Amino acid sequence: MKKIIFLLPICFLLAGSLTAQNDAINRFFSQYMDDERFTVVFVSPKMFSLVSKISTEDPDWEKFRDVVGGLTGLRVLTSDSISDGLKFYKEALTKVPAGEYDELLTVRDGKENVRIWVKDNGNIINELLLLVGAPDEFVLLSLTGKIDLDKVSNLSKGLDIDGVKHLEKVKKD
Amino acid sequence: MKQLFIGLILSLSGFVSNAQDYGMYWKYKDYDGAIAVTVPRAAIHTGSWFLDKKADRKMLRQVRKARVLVFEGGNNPISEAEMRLFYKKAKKRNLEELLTVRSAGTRVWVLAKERRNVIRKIVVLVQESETFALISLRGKLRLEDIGKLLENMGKGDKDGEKGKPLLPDNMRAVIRI
Repeated sequence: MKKIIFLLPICFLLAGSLTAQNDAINRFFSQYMDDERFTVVFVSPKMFSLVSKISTEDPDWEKFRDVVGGLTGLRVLTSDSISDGLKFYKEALTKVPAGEYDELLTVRDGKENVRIWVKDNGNIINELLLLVGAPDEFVLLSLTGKIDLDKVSNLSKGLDIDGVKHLEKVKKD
Repeated sequence: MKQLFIGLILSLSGFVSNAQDYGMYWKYKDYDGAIAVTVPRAAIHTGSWFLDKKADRKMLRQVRKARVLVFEGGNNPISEAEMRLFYKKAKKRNLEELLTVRSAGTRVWVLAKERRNVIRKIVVLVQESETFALISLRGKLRLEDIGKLLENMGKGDKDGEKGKPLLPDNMRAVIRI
């Protein structure tokens, strides 16, 4: 009994710290969700699950199903007509829990910055976070689920969502 | 006894009608500026006769009822609180969010209820400061039939018209590699 009483608060504390890691990003999304300068897209796990259940005889569709089959969510916060994109980029950068994610890619091309982080569990990537900042552009994208980097780069061609095109950069050589 | 029985049926049918859009349609359909349309199954079935492809006809016939409620030109009486209430009720009744998009002042929500590979209901909500639209479809849309519909889109028709590919060309090219 004493053991349980001792272990319970530890479990609560652990659970709290795990959820807090993602909270910073969630708060960032929530903060700008209603800001009219940004476009927000949220694709729910249910949507991915429904698409992955629709089968056709088209081989391309079947491959697309395979890509989205493991995904559980996509959130995009983007703007391509702001004057202070770099300010938002820096703000978002401070919110990314560096210890939680592994940096996959960093590109600085002129004034455009692109960063991609992944969160993995052994060999499986569970979350991909993409951040793009340029003077007139800002993108924050979070993709969750079982992610295959090669397949995800294909998604960038199929989804007509601003900011998703940057996913092309994750393709392995 | 007979009256009691009829009364019970009528009140239950009222609940069923309300359930499709959780009361929003019924609450606002008589407001000034509201465009409210309920399309019954028979009308949908009749409309399906005019479709060329069998798969399209089959899909349309699976829709049992369609409702549309539109407010335009600054007549939108639906507040944020009302939307939240709708959302709460929808979630309680297993209507799940599929997609949410907000761009500038326009918000679009797509919700659906699916059970055993059958979509029972689809609700699309569009809200702007002065405009509101609710489209609600109830029926039995099998995912298998949606697949066939998508396949047919890719095949083209008898007149030799080329069908649209299911996926955009650039994506097909990448996937084939």
